[in-house]
Amino acid sequence: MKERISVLGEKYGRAILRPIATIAVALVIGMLFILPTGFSPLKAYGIIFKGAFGSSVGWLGTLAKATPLLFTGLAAAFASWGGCFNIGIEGQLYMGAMAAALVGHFCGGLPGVILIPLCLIAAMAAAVLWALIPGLLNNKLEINIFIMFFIFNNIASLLTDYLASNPLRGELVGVEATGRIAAQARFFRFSNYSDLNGGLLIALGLVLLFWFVQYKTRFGYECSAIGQNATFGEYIGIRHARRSMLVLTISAMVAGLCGAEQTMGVLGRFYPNFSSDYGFTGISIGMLANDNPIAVAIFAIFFGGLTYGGQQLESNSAISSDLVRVIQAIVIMFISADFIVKKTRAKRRNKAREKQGREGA
Amino acid sequence: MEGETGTVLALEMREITKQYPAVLANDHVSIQAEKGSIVCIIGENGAGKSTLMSILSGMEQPDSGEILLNGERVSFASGREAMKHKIGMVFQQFMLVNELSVLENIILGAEPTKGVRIDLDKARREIEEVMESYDMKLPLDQPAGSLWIGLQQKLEILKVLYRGAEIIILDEPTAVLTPQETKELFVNMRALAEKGKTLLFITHKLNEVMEVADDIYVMRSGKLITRVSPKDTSVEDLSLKMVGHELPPIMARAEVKGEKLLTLERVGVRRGREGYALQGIDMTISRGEILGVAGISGNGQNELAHVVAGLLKPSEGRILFQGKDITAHDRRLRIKDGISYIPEDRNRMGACLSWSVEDNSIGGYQDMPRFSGPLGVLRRKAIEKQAQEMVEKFMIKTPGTKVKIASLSGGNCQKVIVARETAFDASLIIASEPSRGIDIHAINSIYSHIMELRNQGCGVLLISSSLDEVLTLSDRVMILYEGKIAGVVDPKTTPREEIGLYMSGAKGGGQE
Repeated sequence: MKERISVLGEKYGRAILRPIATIAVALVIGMLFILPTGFSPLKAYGIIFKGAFGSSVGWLGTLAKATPLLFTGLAAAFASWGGCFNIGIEGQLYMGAMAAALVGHFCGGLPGVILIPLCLIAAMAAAVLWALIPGLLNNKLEINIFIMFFIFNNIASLLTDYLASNPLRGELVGVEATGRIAAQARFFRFSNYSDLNGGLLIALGLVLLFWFVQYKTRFGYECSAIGQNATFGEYIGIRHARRSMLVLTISAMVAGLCGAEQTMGVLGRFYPNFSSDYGFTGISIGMLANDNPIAVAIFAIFFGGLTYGGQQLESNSAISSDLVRVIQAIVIMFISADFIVKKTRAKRRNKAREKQGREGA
Repeated sequence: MEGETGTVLALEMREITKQYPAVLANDHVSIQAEKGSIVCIIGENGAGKSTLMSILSGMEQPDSGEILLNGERVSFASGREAMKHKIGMVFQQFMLVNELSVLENIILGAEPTKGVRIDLDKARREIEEVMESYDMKLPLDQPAGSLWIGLQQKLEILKVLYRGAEIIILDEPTAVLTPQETKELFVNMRALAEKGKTLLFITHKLNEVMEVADDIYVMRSGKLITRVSPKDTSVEDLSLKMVGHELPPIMARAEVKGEKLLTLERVGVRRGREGYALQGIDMTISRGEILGVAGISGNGQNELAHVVAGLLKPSEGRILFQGKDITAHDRRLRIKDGISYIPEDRNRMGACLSWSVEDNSIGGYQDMPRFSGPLGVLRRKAIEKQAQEMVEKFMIKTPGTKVKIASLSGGNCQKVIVARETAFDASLIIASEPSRGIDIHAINSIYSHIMELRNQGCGVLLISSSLDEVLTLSDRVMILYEGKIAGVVDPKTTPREEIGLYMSGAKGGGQE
């Protein structure tokens, strides 16, 4: 029994402590930015957390802010679990949102039971297309995938911006946006006072689904093999290139759903550049969560709370809600540093093992 | 200081103790070496010989004990300080810069300077002197990477000689050499000893010890077991002392008559535009046969293993398995065909170090109905049971099946891989360097297991850079040289030297 506990301790202890420590340090450093305003940092944090988690209104706001992050966090976590680093989520979610908006608007005659799935499928398909172009170019021609993703993120945001403000511009006067989607394509809302909508249920369903797939199925096992050690993955019979494309496809589908949720649950039409870095925040959530979907949910809600609470802070004090973005940026910085340290350590450990292996060879 | 026999003790290590967090690596170990002698230190992996040498070469500091050079107490905080005291180490894995010339490699880190510039002429004169006096000739202007392994090793030795070493530590120097190169090394070692150098020779190959040593120290689990002279001992006696008890004999070879299992027809693998990593390979393996592949590392062995395992597509030729053409089968299908593979690189390919023993125990066999049920849901209970059976059968030392495989020792990690690759009734087993880096106990049990499978009708493709291993296990030996088959010989009737000639390309197809 004791042995089992120590094994579990080894497995989860670090995985839990590390992100919590990261966030704690980020919050402490964030205090330094509050101090010059003369406002008490502890009080400021009090306002943020009370605003975010202290009331049912707060929870509604927090969960509404967390919903897109749940999608992007899952998309990032699953991609990284399967060995690819999807930094194109931002572009994919724009394409998804646009596709959902167009289908929802132009196929408005269809009944909801058909229209909603159709919108979701269109969103996923557009996002997958947007992911596979760089993915396949990388796969076949070995073009650097990071650069490709960055370029495609920019193209997506500019292209959708152009489409929404020119050929596909809707009926609103003075606002650049597509036409309104049909009412039956809208997700239901939990309350009139919040953007929180049925998309949350889809997101939470996906959390459970991904947790199950990653930890309980052969598919997850095989993706993890490729993610942890591609040579080993090939050795146990998985084609690395093919599997990576499949993993990227699934990740992009989730990113597309993020766009669909924003269009169908919150905005009702496509507004250019609506995403406040959901994609990139999702990537850092995925890393904080160490690719674990349950942890993704926790951190997405935490980040959602920070954002919503930050808005409360802004309206109750002279502190800008940009403070929250500073804290998020610090967290991201720590994660990147942690990522590098882990990489070099793993490299060193492998070297040591190889050396050990050679002894007596 | 005068030794017992009246000769000078060049080196004495007294009561060296070194405690690592988990193991007592050296427990009051004392050794002595007379000037101009060759002292062998033998022991299994983990016996503490490498630690002892790390201490002597300044890379580790002992917790207690002292080192005396020519009777004087010394201590070094770094490898550089040890070098100042004329102690030089020749590493098993050569520390050469392949692109630099031999000359540049020798002076690297000890360059003679003229002002701020390196005085290459002076370096050349000095090195030529050294080469002259020890009769070790090397082409100074060639890039080091272009040299044969044996010459690279000579270069490593010249490097420490150039730095004025009086005590030279050779860490497993013969692991990468052909029999001929080994012979030559021993001649060179003897010549060095006659010129008054003291040599410490670390190995676990016992017949080499008997051939070259003046004095033998046997270590076991951190302790010095005995000091003997080769006159008073035998290979069997040394083995017993090294292991601590008698090893069970490797399972006997049974007469098995089997039909053809695997056939390669003119298989080739291109490398680059014109070159071939593997060319014109025609070979067969029958049921109940171990085909050993000998050769110096890098002569196509890896490609051969990967082509048969399905990890590398041959650019030409056909592969037949049990009468079926499986050339187009990828790795997954080959596993289903019944071809299992114990890879050479167990840390990168054979195991996923960040995974548990349990997850590793079904790698490649995860889609068997036993392990994945409907919708591909893993049957955790069955996997756990599988891992536990392997742990019991192979006596794998692990605190449990849920711990990371990286926390196991190299030998136990290898046992997990061997256990997995032999657990699922494969018809053909590719075993690449199955005993590399593991201790004698583990080697012995793995050899027995391979032999047992052979006797049960498995075909085995054994690829090893250790000629001993190939000769011990194989029914036939095929020698690869530059990607081609240099010869196929009977291990019972062919002298080692002849195989060595094939390995170095002096004989057989490689010469055409």
